[in-house]
Amino acid sequence: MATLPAGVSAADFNAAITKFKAAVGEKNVFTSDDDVALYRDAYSPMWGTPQELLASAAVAPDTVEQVQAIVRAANEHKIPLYPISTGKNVGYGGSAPNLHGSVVVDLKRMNRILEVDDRRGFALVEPGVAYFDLYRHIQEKKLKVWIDCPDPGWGSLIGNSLDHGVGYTFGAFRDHFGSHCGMEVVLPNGEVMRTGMGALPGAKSWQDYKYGFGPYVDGLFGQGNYGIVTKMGFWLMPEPEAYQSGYVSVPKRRDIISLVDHVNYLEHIGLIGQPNYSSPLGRAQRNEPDLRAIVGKAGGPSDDELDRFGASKGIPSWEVQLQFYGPAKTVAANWEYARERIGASIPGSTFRDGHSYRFPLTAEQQAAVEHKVALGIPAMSIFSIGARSELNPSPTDGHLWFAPIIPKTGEAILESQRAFAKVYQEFGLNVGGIFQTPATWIYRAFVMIVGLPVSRSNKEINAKSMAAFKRVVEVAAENGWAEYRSPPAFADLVADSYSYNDHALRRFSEQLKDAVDPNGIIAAGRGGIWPKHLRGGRKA
Amino acid sequence: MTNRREFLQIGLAATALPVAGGLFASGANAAVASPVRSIPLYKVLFDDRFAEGKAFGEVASNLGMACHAMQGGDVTDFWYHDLDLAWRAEPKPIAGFTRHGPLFVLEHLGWDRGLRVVFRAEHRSLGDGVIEHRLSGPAESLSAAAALAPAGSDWVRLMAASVTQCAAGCSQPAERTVVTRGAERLPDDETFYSWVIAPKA
Ligand SMILES: Cc1cc2nc3c(=O)[nH]c(=O)nc-3n(C[C@H](O)[C@H](O)[C@H](O)COP(=O)(O)OP(=O)(O)OC[C@H]3O[C@@H](n4cnc5c(N)ncnc54)[C@H](O)[C@@H]3O)c2cc1C
Repeated sequence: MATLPAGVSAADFNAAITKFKAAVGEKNVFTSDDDVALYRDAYSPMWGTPQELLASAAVAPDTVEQVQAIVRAANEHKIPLYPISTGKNVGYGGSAPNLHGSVVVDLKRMNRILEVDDRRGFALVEPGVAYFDLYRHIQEKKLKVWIDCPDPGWGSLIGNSLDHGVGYTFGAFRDHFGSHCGMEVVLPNGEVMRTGMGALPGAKSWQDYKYGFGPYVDGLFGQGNYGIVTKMGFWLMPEPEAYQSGYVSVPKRRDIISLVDHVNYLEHIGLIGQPNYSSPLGRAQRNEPDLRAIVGKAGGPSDDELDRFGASKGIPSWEVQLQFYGPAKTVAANWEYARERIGASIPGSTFRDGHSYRFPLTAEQQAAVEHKVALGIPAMSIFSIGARSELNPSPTDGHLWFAPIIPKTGEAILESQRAFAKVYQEFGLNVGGIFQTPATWIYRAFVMIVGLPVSRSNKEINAKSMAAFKRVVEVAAENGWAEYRSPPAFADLVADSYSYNDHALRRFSEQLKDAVDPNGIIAAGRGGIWPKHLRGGRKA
Repeated sequence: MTNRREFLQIGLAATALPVAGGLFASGANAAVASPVRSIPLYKVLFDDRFAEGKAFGEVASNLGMACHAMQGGDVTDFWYHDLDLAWRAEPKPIAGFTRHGPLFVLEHLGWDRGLRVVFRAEHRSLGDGVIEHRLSGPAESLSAAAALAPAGSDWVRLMAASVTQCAAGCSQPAERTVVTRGAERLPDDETFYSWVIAPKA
């Protein structure tokens, strides 16, 4: 039999398993090694070592009542539970718990799409509903709304948003937790709570107004461990009439500062969707040995050196893809405005048109779209890249996402590039660097994300990535930056960097934890929040 | 159990056949079929960006299998328009020749529907035309796959034949490593996988 949770007797564990079986049926409780192994984190840097975080069993309810019965039995026998929705959180821990030996509550069977309203623009779903499922439902019913999904479409709206996941379309829709509206939660004592307007019996606007009355508690369930979410509402974007993308290039390295300011303006005033930054000069390294020599010289290159090289070859330092959504007329006008605005401000800036579409797309058009998620179409193509290439000579078995938040400015990009590049170089990791551009999913901040490699066969790679991860978290904190999301193995480390006023935030969260979940049965350690009896084991 | 001769017959016969509507498509494959019941495949997936993938698809097609060539190595289209719908009705076995990504994705999606990878062969270039094939799966299929060793550049065709004839309902999983010589390097020196995903026994 699998690992027992620490401090839980075999008798208690078995009694709980019996109750779980009574609640959900024997075939929906998994205890064999083979079945429990499916909940391992495929990208765990501790794969196959004694430190790997493993589940002891899994239970798959189909109804809210079954979730309640599981929680009650867990309380009775002090069994730690770890709820997952579709469990595809690869890169951030997969389906594996923060606390070794937890029983995974696998909510995949609760996969009902309860309502989609394309007039008010929302969906109400259960945890097992994947982005692909909601997309199919919308297509089949010919509803005039888009989903906003992460790169892999196999995840769930609820699981992704509860880990503060992100997407690729317009403004606030990309912040999946931010664009949710209303929750139903099974609390640690087994009670069912609805948040926002859902607390009003017979509410007619649960998915329209988030706050209801009184404190807004939904935030506690995102990266938290105060309950099991069984329903959530999400706002959906109306299907636009048209899409147009355009590319802006600027010649000099420090032009990024002005470029970001303009793009922020365009985005925050609602003219563009997600901007995508890149560096043509960075890409040119592949074919330009002289540039590689400049970049690799001791102490790194100066901005002037890079500008001179770029000017001599006519290669711009930076490029940004702007994406316009809306009526065809305004989309064209907005692109024209962006060109005028940036062209008048940044000498040497150049512009070119990207793709343009009218919706709905034909099947052929849809098949040809490169980054489908930018048009609200779920995909799995992200798993087809990352194959061996000149820049990626040793593809690995996975990666740990290091995802620090920095301010949405050009200065912060330049500063963080250098700070992080130093660490990656120290550890001999071929990631980041002085041409790294930020991920822009989050509406009001940048994320300087990199994937640190993980290997099943080479433990040295894992040790190096883990050491680098630790160091880069420290360097980030020294600079006033920190991670927005983390694999369980580093949750304590990351939570530790949020230490203002002697960890007042964590102490408050743990006070709440003790009050709401005195037996500490829900997702112990998630978000760096531990129940009282396990606090001594904090990993940081 | 498929013996070495029968195994080679299947593979080489398939190699020689035209792509569609060949001998094996008509059920005549019973002539060389293994006495062990093979897993009835719903579809065979292959990466047609590479010669190896095309050869794999060609053999599978000649053996009468319904095949799907992935667009750009991406499983999305196959998943959304085909497999998800098929698996909703009934979790059916599939096989393929892909890079790691598509296998990773389909293996995980399969778990959600009660399927498992029951046969996996990892193909890696070791240089100088040497390719290492690490196989794991039903003992019956592996003993047949040992016939790969002398296959040289025909290894992918034999692999296709082996995978599409993968033994069903075998309880004894085994592992084996075979080396072939005289083949082209694998594209980009990438690792490729032949695999079968089938309902959990
Ligand atoms: C190549 C690659 C690309 C990726 N791209 C993106 C991307 O673009 N955007 C992005 O956001 N992520 C991305 N990810 C990360 C991840 O794969 C996705 O976020 C994925 O959607 C998360 O898995 P899930 O939806 O199945 O959530 P789950 O794994 O089900 O849930 C995540 C966590 O939330 C908690 N949780 C889940 N359900 C509940 C519940 N009902 N009640 C209480 N707590 C719960 C659990 O702690 C769980 O571990 C990427 C990963 C990889 C490997």
